[in-house]
Amino acid sequence: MKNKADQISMSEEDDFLLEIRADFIAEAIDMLSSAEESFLLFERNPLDDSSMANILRLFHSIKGGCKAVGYDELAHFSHLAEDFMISIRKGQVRVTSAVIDILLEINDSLKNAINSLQQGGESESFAHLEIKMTELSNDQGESKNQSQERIDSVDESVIDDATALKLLAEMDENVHRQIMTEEIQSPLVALIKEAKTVQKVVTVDESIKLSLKKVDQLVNSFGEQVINQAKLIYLFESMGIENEKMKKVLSDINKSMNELQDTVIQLRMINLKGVFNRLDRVVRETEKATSKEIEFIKEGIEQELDKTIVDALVDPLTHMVRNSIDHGIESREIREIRGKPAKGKVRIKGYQKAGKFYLELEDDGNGLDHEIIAKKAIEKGIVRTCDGLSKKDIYNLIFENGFSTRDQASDVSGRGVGMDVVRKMFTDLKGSCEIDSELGVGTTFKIELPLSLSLFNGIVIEENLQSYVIANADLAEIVSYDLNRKIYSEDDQEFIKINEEIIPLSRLSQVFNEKKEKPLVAILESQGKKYGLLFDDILGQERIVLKKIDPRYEKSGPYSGGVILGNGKVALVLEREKLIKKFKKVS
Amino acid sequence: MRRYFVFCIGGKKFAIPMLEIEEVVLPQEISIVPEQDKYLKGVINLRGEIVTVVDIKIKLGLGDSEIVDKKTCFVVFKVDGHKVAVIVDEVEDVVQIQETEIKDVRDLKKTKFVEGLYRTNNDQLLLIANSRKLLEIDVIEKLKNAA
Repeated sequence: MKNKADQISMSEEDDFLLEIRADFIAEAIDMLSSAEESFLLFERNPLDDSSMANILRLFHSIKGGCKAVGYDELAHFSHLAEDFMISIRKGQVRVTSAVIDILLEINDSLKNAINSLQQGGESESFAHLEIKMTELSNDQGESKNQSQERIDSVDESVIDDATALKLLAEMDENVHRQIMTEEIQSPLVALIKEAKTVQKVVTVDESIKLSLKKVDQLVNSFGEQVINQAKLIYLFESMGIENEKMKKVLSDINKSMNELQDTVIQLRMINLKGVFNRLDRVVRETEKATSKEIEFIKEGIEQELDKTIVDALVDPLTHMVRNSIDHGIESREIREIRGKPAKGKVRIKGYQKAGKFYLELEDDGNGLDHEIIAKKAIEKGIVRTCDGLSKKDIYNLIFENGFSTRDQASDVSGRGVGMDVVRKMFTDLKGSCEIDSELGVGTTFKIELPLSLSLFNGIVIEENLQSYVIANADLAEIVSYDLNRKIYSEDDQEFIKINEEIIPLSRLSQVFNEKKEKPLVAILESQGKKYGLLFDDILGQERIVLKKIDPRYEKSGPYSGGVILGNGKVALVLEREKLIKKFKKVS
Repeated sequence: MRRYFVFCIGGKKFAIPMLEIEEVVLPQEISIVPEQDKYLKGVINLRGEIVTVVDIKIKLGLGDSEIVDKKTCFVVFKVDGHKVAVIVDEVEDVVQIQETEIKDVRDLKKTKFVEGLYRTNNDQLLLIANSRKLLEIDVIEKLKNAA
């Protein structure tokens, strides 16, 4: 019996350690991404002390945290890193690009180590970085010794008492508290107090940390509730009773469900800060590799989007930013001849519009040559002819499978990822991507994304006695399909004329339901182009909680998942971009 | 000794390790997914989960499961975490099988799915099928990982 009790308390202790470790890891990830930001600021302006102070504070906390939860190796390494940075701050190690590289590398290694710990693995060895740090400290230390003396003779001491105290206060809460409580009345202490209070005010943010698992649990429960609500409404309607009180209750439920849905979607949203900061880093590295100078402008960093989408944006955007700098922005000489500012401009902007999220990536570089692209596209057999295609249509051929304008891949952009893969990454997120350009002026990518992947409002349609769902945000309008209206046919592709616009038509099943005299057409709009989908009937509006379906269906059909309707049946959710691909195959 | 689930499809008796069977449900209306492989019948709502229904009769070359009579049911398999519902003509029994008694026919027979034969005490022949192959679990996993 006693043994068993021991075991339990042991495992409880383990659980406790696991729990605080998990907390620490989550915190450390945040702190490291904040540190990365400061590292980049520091590089741009090494004289601004606040960024290094911030980094030191973060590393100090990480070191303490590591020790507390028993990650000794990590604690040791962050301690060394902290020392290294203190010597940078004191001016004992000069800030060169090699030093910045090491700092970023330190940050990366810590991040990797923490990520692998999160996944239950072991943290990697830091030996090579430790060696590099000592080498740099020693190398510079020797050459520094002389210059150091020179500085010493000018200033009495590199690190004066005031700075030392301030440093200590920032790094150690205890010292800070001591200063605060002892109430030493000196201008210096007042200064520290002030600095501290300002910092405190800035960092106050009324938020709590939530694990994504909990949020997803809530999303799932909400999903169940949505299905129950749909069932309830279905039941009530099928009973055929007129009851005002019941109707009122149902409409109240609906109202609160609407609010709940918004909140639940909001919970999963994060801003673009993380992605944009990563891109900062990409810009910096590419600048170095290509010896070009770039002004990187970020707009809409506070805009929010579903976490899953934000996380998946890093890879394609990294590739696109590299491409823009490597292939888009001209060399300094050419820019001079063209009368452009020496620094190339790359701008990324995020914003929301009409229930969708947009990202624009713009550069003021060379732009694309539609003639070269047209020639290449024909050579590679992507299109037979480019007659009748607009410039923009031709530019967008670069997203087609097997297209690459450069025969030689450069070291920077690499050969691996083509624009077709980049586009696929966006379509996998149920988004789309298009390009526009002007030769000699620049190139703009416009990416459209849904706000949320799993919760949205949709319309249930019927085609050939089966139900399907289209997301409201994908739908431009629904019109009735009038047989008398002339339908143009060209290579078996049907067209419908709506408001003087000729729109290609498609239907889900090849079997046309002849019984329906007045079918309907759902007009889908993607990147400024319209497509019509023919169907039999509208069954209603529904709140959609997307559920996974067999990947074989997702691969072969225009579906992104399924939904369970109020009557208990399954309806497939149509994905706009996949439907449009179907059109392209036909036309 | 392992427990096997025995069911009947197209007059043939199949035995599948009990561990791979999740549940048996009554037939319900299938939502058809157009323009698909005939083998993929469509999807059903299994208490909030969307599960694919397959007709393995087609895979086995035994025709088509068209007529749904009283004994027809959906047997939900769960193989390596993947749920698939199979249309079965009749559920027979659960039997204990000594695995050393199963005749390995992987080298003998041309069929891709039947890997063993077992003769019961009352002289019935049970076909031991490989559910991973029968349900295309490899294909599902490959597509899932690619996504």
